[in-house]
Amino acid sequence: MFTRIQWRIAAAYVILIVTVLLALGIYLINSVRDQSLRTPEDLAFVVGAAMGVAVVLAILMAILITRTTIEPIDRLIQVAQRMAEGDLDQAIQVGSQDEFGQLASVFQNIALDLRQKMAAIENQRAEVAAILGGMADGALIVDDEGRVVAMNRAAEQMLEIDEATAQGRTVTEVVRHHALVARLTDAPSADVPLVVEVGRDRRQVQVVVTPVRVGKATRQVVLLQDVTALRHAEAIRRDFVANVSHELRTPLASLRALVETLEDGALEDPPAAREFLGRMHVEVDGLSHMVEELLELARIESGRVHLQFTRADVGQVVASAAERLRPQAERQGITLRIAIPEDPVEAAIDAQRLQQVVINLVHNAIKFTPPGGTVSVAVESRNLYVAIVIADTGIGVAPEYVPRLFERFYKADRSRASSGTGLGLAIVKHLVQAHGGHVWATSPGEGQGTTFTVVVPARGPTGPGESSTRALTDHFGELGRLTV
Amino acid sequence: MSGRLSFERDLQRLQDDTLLLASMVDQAIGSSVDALRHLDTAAAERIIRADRDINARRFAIEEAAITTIATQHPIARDLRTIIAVLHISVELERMGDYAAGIARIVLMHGDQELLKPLVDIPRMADYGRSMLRQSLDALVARDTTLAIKVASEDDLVDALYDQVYRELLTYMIQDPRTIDRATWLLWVAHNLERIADRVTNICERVVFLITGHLNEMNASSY
Repeated sequence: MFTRIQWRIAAAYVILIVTVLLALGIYLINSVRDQSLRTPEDLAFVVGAAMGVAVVLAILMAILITRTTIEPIDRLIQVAQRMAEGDLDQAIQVGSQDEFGQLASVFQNIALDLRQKMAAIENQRAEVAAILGGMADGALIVDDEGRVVAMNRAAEQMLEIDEATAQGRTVTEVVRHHALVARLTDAPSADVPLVVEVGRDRRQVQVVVTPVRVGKATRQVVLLQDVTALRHAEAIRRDFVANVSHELRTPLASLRALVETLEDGALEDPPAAREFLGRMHVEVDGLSHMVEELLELARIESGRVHLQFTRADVGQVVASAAERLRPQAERQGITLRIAIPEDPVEAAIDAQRLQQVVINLVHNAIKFTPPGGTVSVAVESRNLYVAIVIADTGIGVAPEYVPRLFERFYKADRSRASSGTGLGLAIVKHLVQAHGGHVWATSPGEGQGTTFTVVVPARGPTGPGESSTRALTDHFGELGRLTV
Repeated sequence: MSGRLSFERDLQRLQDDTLLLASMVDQAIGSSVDALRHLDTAAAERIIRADRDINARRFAIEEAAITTIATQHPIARDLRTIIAVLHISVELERMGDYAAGIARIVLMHGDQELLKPLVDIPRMADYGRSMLRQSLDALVARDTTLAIKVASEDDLVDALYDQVYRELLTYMIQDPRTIDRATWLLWVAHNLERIADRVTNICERVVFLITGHLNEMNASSY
C-alpha cells in the first residue's frame, strides 16, 4: 500500500508530530502540577512556542528529506544525460533497496541492453561496409530525390570520383551519362541490359538498377558491372569465327572452280588438266598449312604441347634459325644482319620451338620490308633474361594496331590479299609464353619499321613472378607497348 | 515548398539536363568517328536520327530556362547560371550537328574505301571529348582554373588539324583521283576542330558564370 519512501516520510512526520506533542504535553502537565501556567495568555504563549518549534523542525526535516530524496534522483538524471550523449559504460550504483534502488537497477539494465544492441548494429554495419567495399562491382545508392547517398570503392574507381565529393550531389552530376540516368528515372521497360562507357579508359559497364524500400523511403541501388574484358573476348571470338570461315572460303572456292573446270571437259586436255591439278595441289597445300597452324595453335594454347627445356647457347640457336632465311632475304633484296655475342649466352630453352619463333619473326620482317631495306637480328644478355631483338626498316605499324598484332588471324594490311594465315604471331606469342618469357612489338609509326623483342628467363619457365608484367617493367624500365 | 527551395531545384534540374545533353553529344562524337573508321552506314544513320533527340533536348532546356527567368526573376549569380547554361546547351547542340555531319560523310563514301587508315582524326576526337568532359567538370565544381586550362588544350587540336590538312593535301597533289575522299576526311577533321572550339566557348561561359566576366579564350586560327 504505502511505498517505502512514503513510509519513511510518513514515519518522519509522525515522529516529529509525536515528539512535539509529547514535549508539549509533558511541559503542560508539569506546568499544571507546579502551577506555573495561570492565565490563558500563558497557555497561548506556550502553545505558540510549541507551534513555532514544530514549524522550524518540520522545515528542517523537509529540507533533510528532500535532500536525501533528490540526491539519488540528481545522480540518476546525470547518468541518464550521459547515456543520452552516448556514454553507455558508466557504473550505476545500486545502493538502497527502495524505489531509487529499483530505478537505478532498471537504468543499469537499459544501459547494458543498449550497449549490446549498439555493438550488434555496429558489427552489422561493418560487415555490410566490408562487403560493399570488397565488391568488384560498383554500387551506388540513390535516394528518391535523385541524389547520391553512398557509393563503394569500385564505383569510385569506375566513375573517377570519390564518395565524399559525390555524396549529396545529383546522380547526373556524378555519373554524367544520359542512358544511365534514364534507367533510373524511367520505369524499367524490358530487361534489356544497358551497357555504357564510363571513365577515361572507356570501360564498358553493365548497369542494373534495383529499387529498394528502406522504411518509408525508396532508394535505388545502381550496380555497375565491368564487362569490358567479357565483351573483348566475345569480339575476339566473333572475329575468329568470321575469319576462319573467310580464310577457308577462298581456297575452297578456288578448288571448287578448278574441279568444276576439270569435270566440264578440261580432263580431255591433258596439259591443261595437269596445270589445273597443279593449282589444286597448291590450294590444298595452303589449306593443309592453315589447318596445321590452327591445330598447332590450339594445341599450344591448351597446353598439350610439351616443350623440352635444355640449356643451350641462345646465340647459336638464333643465328642458325635466322641463317635459314638468308636465301629468301637475298631474293628480296634485303640485307640480313645477325649479331650474336662472342661468348655463349645460355638459357633453358626448347631449341626447336625457339627456332620456330625466330623463323616466324624474321620471315615477317622480310615480308614486310621493301627491297633495299635491312632486317637485323641480335641476341643479348640482360641480367636474368636473354633478349632476342629483330628489327626491320619496313612498313611499320600504326600505334592503334600494335596491341592487336598478336591476335589470331590479324593481318597487317587488310586490303592486300597477302599470303600467310595471320596465325604466325599468335603462335610466336604462345611459344614465348611457354618459355616463361614475353614478346612485344614497337614501331614509331607507319613506314618507320618495326622492332620485335623476345625475352626469355635464363632459368627457364619455372621461376615465380617471372612472367609478371610488373616484374618485367621494373626490370627493363620502358617497354614501349607491351603487347603480351 | 518554399520558393527558394523550388528555385534551387529548378537550377539543379537545368544544370543536370545540360550534363545529360553533353553526354549524348559525347556519345555522338565517339560513335561518329567509330562509324567512319569502319564505314558503318547503319551506325551512321542511327547517329543522324539521334541528332533530332539532341536538338529536342536543347530546345527543352531553353524553354525551361526562359520559364524560370519569367517566373522566378533571378538576379546576379542565379541569372548568370541560367544564361550560361542556356548558351552551353546551344554550343552542345552545334557540336551534335558536327557529329551528325561526320556521320553523313560516312554515307557519302558509298561503296568506296577510306582513303587511308585513320590515325590523327580519332586522336582529335579523343581530345575533343576529353576537353568536353573536363569543361563540364569545371562547371560542376565551379572551377575557373580548370576551365581556363581546358580552353588552352584547343591548341593541341588545332595542331593536329594542321597535320591532317597537310597530309591530305599531299595525297590530293600526288593523285587527283583521291581528291573526293581526301576532301571528305578534311571535312571530318574540320568538324572535329570546330567541336574543340565550341568547347572553349563552353569554358568561357563557365568562367562567366563564376566571375561575371566574359573573356575570350583561345581565339581560333580558323
